[in-house]
Amino acid sequence: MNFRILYIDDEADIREVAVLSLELDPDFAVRACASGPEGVAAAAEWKPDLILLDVMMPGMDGPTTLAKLREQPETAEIPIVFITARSQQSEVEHYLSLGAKAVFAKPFDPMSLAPSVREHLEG
Amino acid sequence: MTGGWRSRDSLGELPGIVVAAIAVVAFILLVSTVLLSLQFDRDRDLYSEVTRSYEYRARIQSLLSMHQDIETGQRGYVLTGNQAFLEPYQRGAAQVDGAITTLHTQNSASALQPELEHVEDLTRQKLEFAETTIRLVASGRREEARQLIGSGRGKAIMDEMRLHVAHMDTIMKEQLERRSALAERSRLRTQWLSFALQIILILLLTYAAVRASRSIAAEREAGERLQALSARQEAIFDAATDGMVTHDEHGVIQNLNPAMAKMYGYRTEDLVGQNVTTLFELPPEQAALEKFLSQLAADPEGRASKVQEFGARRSNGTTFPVDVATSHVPLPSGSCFVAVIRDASERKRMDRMKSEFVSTVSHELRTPLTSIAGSMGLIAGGAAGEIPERAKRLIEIAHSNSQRLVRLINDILDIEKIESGRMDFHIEPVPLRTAIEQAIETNKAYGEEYGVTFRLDPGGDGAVVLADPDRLAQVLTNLLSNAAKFSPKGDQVTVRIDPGKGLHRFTVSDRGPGIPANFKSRIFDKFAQADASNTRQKGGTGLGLSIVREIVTHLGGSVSFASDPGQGTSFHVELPAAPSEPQA
Repeated sequence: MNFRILYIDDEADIREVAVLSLELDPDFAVRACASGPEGVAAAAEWKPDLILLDVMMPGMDGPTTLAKLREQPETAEIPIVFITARSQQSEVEHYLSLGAKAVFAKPFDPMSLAPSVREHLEG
Repeated sequence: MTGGWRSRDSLGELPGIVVAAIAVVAFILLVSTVLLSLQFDRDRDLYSEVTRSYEYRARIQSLLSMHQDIETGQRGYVLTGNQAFLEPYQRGAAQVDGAITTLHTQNSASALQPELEHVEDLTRQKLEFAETTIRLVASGRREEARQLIGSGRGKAIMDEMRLHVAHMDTIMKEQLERRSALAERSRLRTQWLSFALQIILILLLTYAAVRASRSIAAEREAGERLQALSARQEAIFDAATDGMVTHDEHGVIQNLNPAMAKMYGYRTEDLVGQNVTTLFELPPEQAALEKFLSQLAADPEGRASKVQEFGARRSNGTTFPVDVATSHVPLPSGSCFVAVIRDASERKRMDRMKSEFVSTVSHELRTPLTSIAGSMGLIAGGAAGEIPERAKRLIEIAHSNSQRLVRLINDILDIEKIESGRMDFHIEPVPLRTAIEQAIETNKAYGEEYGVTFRLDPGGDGAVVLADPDRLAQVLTNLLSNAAKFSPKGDQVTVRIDPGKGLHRFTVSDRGPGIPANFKSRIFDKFAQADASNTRQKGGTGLGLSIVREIVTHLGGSVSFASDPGQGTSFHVELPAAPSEPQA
């Protein structure tokens, strides 16, 4: 079964590493976007099975992007996982309370990223 | 200050002593008064007896005088026949019976009675004799009367009477002397008693005066010390930069310092008499006010309450955070509470800045590391295809050191959070054996890098501790990874659980080189690592054991170790046992 994974992050290097990491799973089709607005548009068009969403982004940050995705009927039900370097407990709880399915910490193990995403797809 | 408090203690003791002194003085006065009163009565009685004795003697002499008057009148009439000479006889005769009766009545000496009877008999004889002679003269038989008188019978009666009267007088004199002597002794006794009483009173008055004088001096000294203390405390109160307010048990403000008034934007006089609850953000319900006052009230035994944060409200309606600590001061007039209030705005601003700084630094450091570690990991994992062996080795070095940087950043941020109290601990019952098994599983791969296995000894199945599961996992990871790092290749790190009462202990042991003696005192210090010659440095941050100690301490436990060079090392961690769970 193929899964579509959308990765949204303003850091180009991290996007590249993340895409390579996710593509280690042969069942994953991966796209990357560089900003919140780009990600919202891509999600509406491509309809991914899961969105990996960075928190700290210029302009539209992760939580705002999540809110926008929830407003769109075509993207409202897509599971979203935040991926962030801001990993204090209070912040993690806050992101989960916004409706995120999980919060992954940066730096992430590139060899574990795909398996972790698969767990949330199948779980 | 100490002397003043001693004076105060002395003042406190005085009422008891004064009461006792008054009681003693009153008792002495009462007893003395009773004794003196009895003595005075005795003296009075004695003097009355002496007086009566004198009077009795006088009456005896008076009786004799009456008889002499009778004799004189009788003889004068017999000699002259003139009625006028009968006047003394008549006077004496009229009085003599009454005199004898009086002598009988007032006789207080039994020895007098026979003499008095003799005198009475002689008196009767004398009167009969005198009447006989007077009748003879009155009947014209004057010559017979003269012969009768000349017979000496009248003289004999008188002589005998004089003898008896003299004897009576002697008896009375002796009695008088005895009574006088008694009276004199009694007078002396009274004198000495009075003197003694006066001496006692003088001594008591002197003692009272001395004590009063000392009390006055002590009270004045205590007053001066109190004034000085009060002045010092008032100066501290007025000069303190924190707000200070005193209120009663109902919250009514009694006093406040200038800093308090300024903090809230009031004048001092505007707040005195107001309720302290008006200075805080509170719902208007009475229950909320009462709950707040009980929250504000300190330990009734007088210890200062812990610092509590409240929302405060200024006179202009704006709100700001304050830290409040309250002390209870029991006074004779009632309870008084002293609250020290500090504007917490700056503290909270600094906390927010620190939190934001930590979060920002965390993000800014981790972001590039994500790219570095991720890229290295992908290459090392073969995601970029096969690479030359030499390049592979270099990539592995870069990857492991990027991992080391990640761990270092995590450890630095963790220890900063713990030390600043901003690390969240979610305490819950955690089965110790399960937590250790999970940690062993998690670190198994790490151990395999060093050719080391982990083993959990049997036992401790029922041991449940109160801990934050994630933090406990962090402690176990740090100890297991440390033990693996310092174990000989192919060796085994063992973990043992020792359940206890109130505390459960687990021990992580390796059979490595042990800890040098000169390092033992620094082992829990940040960035402390033993000499390179004694360790195989394979990626330690130098913060692992420091984090273990901080976390275990925050969980209410303790960490210790036992190690000798060449004997291996055992780290012991004790954590609070969860209540109501089976003790091993």
